Amino acid sequence: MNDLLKRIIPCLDMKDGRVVKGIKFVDLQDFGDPVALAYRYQQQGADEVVLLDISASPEGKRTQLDIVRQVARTLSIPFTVGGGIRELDDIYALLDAGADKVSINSAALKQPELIDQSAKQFGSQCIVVAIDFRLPEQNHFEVLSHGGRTPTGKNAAQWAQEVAERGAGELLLTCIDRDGTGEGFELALTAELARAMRIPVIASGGAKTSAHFVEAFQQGVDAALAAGIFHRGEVDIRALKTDLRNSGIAVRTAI
Amino acid sequence: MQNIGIIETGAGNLTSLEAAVARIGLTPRRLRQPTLDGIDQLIIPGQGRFGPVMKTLASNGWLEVLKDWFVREKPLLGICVGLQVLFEASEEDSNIAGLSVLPGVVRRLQSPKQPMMGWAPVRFNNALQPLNGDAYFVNSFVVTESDNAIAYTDYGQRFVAALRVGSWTACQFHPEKSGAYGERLLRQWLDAETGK
Repeated sequence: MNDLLKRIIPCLDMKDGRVVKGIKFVDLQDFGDPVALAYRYQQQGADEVVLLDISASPEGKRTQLDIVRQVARTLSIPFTVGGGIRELDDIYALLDAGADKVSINSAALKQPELIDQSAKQFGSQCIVVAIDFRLPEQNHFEVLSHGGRTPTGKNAAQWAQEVAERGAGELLLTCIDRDGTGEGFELALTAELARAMRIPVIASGGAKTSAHFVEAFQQGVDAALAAGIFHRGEVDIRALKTDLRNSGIAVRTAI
Repeated sequence: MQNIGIIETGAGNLTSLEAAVARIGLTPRRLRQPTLDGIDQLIIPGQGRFGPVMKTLASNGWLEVLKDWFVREKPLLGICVGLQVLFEASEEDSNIAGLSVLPGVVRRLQSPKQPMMGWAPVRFNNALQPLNGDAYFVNSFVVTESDNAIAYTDYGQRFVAALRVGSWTACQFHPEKSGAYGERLLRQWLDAETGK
């Protein structure tokens, strides 16, 4: 076998201990307790869960660690935690609380050596680098920082190569222009990187139907992430996996 | 009630493993030193790399204790690097000897992506086929062949997914991260009451 089983990853955006979802972080809607929701997704057959903390306050940070501890005790599948990571100590705290992996985004842009240091200290397998990007206006896909709000001028494909060389163990690619649109994953850049890179690539942003996931996996992405469509019950993970199997995509049997 | 001693090898977080052991009704206890009073079974957990794990086992006095545990046919479960240290050596840290319960050397996995990180099917030998399922792996090193193998997995190349030696069992994947399937295997391997 040359491929691992394709992974479905629900993402839980958290603010002050609650799961929220809005379009581009505005008009936030509440989707309840993250521990309960993560567990529900596990029972539905999710292969992994991502928790992204978008609360800014120190209070929110302490809540985040508590939630990570509870999730670690509750889940029997791997989970990744991101949001607000600035330094090695933040990564240590999250892994120590039981996270399997951490996701670094803006901090990696600000100080790329954080990737080298964290991969060296904790192992590449627990360092995910998240890259938010927008569709090309002129010639290249541009990296955005700060929750997809700030243009950086960086070329997303080059940045992806750099973070891999620095020791990232996985890439989470979110197309901000597709996020919340339901138009399907961006695959020109995402699938190309998934096929070219020696580390797994997660596609994110824009999925609305099973067909979007089928398309992404057929083009070579290793995992696909979505949030709102799962929270709102528009896509059921069990049904999605059945659709994938029927389309010839090898996915995990959760028994 | 069975008491499961989880050996602290100084690398990584044991929360998931403890929770998984507790979920199947057994009592986990972390052991830095070999204080084995009341311990029925041991686990060598799956975090860390070959060399540092062996060094920690040696400096905390586990080497002789584990040999004795093996000779007395007391049960042990090795997970991930806990499978690898049962062998003589590893390409990961080639200057450090393993426990050498089994002959052979742990090799770098020739896989399309590295580390191997994700779900893959585990195929057990004929008699054990009901145990087949999809398990979660995180590793760059593997044992490619062993007379003691009871299950194999394929990612780029075929390698040992689980093995049995005496009353010891070991697996390359993480049962504590493998959902309901992993829980079933842990029950099978740790819970003498319902497992067999």
